[in-house]
Amino acid sequence: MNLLPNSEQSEIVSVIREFLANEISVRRYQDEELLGRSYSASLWQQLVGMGWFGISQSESIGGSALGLVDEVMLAREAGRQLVSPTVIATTAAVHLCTAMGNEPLAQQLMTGQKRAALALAESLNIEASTEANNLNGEIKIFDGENADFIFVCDGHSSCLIKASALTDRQSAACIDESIALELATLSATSCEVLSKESSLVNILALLLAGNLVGIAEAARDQAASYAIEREQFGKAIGSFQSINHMCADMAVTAEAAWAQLAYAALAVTEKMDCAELQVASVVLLAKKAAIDNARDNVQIHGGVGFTVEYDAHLFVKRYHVYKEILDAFYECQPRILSES
Amino acid sequence: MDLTFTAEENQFRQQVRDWLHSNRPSESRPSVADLSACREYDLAWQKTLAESGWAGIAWPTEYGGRGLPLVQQLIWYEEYAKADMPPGGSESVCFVGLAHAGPTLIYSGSEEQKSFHLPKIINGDAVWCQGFSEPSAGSDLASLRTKAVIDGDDLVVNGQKVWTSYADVADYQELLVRTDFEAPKHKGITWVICDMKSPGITIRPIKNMAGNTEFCEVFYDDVRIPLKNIIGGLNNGWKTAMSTLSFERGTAFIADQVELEVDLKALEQLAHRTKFPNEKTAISNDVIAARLCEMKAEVNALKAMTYMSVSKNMTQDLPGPEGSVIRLFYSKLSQRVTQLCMDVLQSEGLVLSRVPGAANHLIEKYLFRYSATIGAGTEQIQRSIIAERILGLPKSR
Repeated sequence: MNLLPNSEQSEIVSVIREFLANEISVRRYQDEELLGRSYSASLWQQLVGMGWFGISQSESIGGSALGLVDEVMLAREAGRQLVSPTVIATTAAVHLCTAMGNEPLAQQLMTGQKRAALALAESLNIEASTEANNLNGEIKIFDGENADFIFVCDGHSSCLIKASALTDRQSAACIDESIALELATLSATSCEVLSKESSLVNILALLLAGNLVGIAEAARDQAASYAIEREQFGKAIGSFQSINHMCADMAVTAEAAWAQLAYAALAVTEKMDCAELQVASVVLLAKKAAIDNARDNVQIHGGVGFTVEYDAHLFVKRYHVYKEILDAFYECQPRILSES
Repeated sequence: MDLTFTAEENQFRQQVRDWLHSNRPSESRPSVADLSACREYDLAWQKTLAESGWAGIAWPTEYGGRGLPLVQQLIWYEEYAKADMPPGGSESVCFVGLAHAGPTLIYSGSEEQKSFHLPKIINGDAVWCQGFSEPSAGSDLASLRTKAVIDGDDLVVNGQKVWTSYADVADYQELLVRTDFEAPKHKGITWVICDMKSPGITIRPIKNMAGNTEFCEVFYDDVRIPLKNIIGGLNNGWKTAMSTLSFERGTAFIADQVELEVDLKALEQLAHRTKFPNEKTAISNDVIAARLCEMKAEVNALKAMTYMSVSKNMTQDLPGPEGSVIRLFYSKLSQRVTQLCMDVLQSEGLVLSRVPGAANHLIEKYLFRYSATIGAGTEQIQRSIIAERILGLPKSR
């Protein structure tokens, strides 16, 4: 048993953290041109170059053969800088393709030739519909511009739908202005790849939870550094206990969610009996940690935090996107209370 | 990173399980109302553990320990918590010796001090108590005023300590005294071993809100303590005390943390069988179910944090400030767990005891947990430590 990242893992995380902070810091959204485009083609090629989408895939298909825990550590880094949910979708899509033995498509996704975007479907029952290859219903697509596939999960089955099979796509303004939202309707649409593997549900849940943990940590760090630099009444606001202790609580909240994230990813990897319970626990805690810390970060920034001139608001908004995506396919309570 | 225990560790776990299974004491621990009986019981149990090699699992072999990695100690606590045994965590009279004084001596004591005291702690031959807080020095520990003056080969101590659990039945005390009144407040403190049978010590028990009296005030009137009892050097006591507190926040409560998982399981079962107004049972109530669900997730996170902390402490001699993160998380969570238990009990939670001397343990536990966010540093002090030492924020006082 060892819950500390080894030196190789720490090295990977620090390289990725530095890369994301330099290349696509959350500050990028200060450039209005980039709003509504958390996906960018040039970034994509860089992520592909790092092997992002195949980190836990076998070397025989061009992956790095690292673990799911490494993959969720990357998800956490992506969450810190509010990288596009398209990264989550494409990572999950690679898992879906390899689970179904569709290696050519997995490789196209890993090498950046194809890309999947994430979609939320409220009342979809993929399994029932696919007998007739007949998916119907309203979906919400995130950063789906130029994506080749749409990834949807209903909590039991996961599938990839060809983007070209979608008709009736309509752009809408998203609460999170860093994301391009589209509303679309599935009508007798068929799946390109489909799996009923429950492990895919766990992987998608963990990737989303990883991003939420990243949000909780980034909010904590922003709040702490602002508390150090901002002065009122002649001293740093971090020297006032009301602020100082809020920051401490943010640290505790983030740490608990991170520890549980690592534990859950390992429990899934090691196929432990409690894996479902562990994943549900981190989903519950990561959602709460992200919104609690995102809210406190706005508060600690005061008036500035309420403006769009600073990025504190973006963490709040992205939380809602990930939370709704999770809630549409993943229920925590039955999974947590069923094991006693 | 992995959650897999090695074959050797699994074998150790099985040995622990087997031993616990066939060695559960036939009598349960006496009520805390009878402190001498508790002392006798806890020491006898400690002796039994030591004789079978279960005491000082992670302590050095030269002082009677097993010299095993901290992960084996964790395994012991996990199995112990599941096996329904006598109190193995902070409730035992052996706690201060095992979790504070022992690790402090291992870290800072002289050879002579270690070889005299450590085997006594491990073998259940001595009870230790703490002598840090004073009426005017609680969270602001460094402003303590209990005075010690050097006279020949002794320190002569005058003053008062407070919140000393089990002072009444203790043999030794980890005592902080002021030995230099001119120096800045952190620089004039000395950490010394006080023999509780020394002339001049008066103990006054204080009744706590859970109804027990293990909590005491201790008064010192010209108490003579040999200079050779100083740990870590004269006027260097703040540093030694900080190491004691690092152990307290870092590793001392692993047993309690692990126990919370067992407590919550019991609570979940209670919620499944307790009738609730307008519902079948408490668990059918949406609010109770949602609270239980969240706490279960948090107890899982506590375990993950405990594992992370054990992993980290296998690579360092002294636990770091991250211990305060777990302490704060655990102490608040443990209060919420017992509070939910009260809500599940409903009006049965008002009936402390139907028969004199047999109090409802769940209610006692609930009341006792109010101390969790005060002892070992208040939750406010833990927050300040986290903010300053982990996040790098300025001092807030």
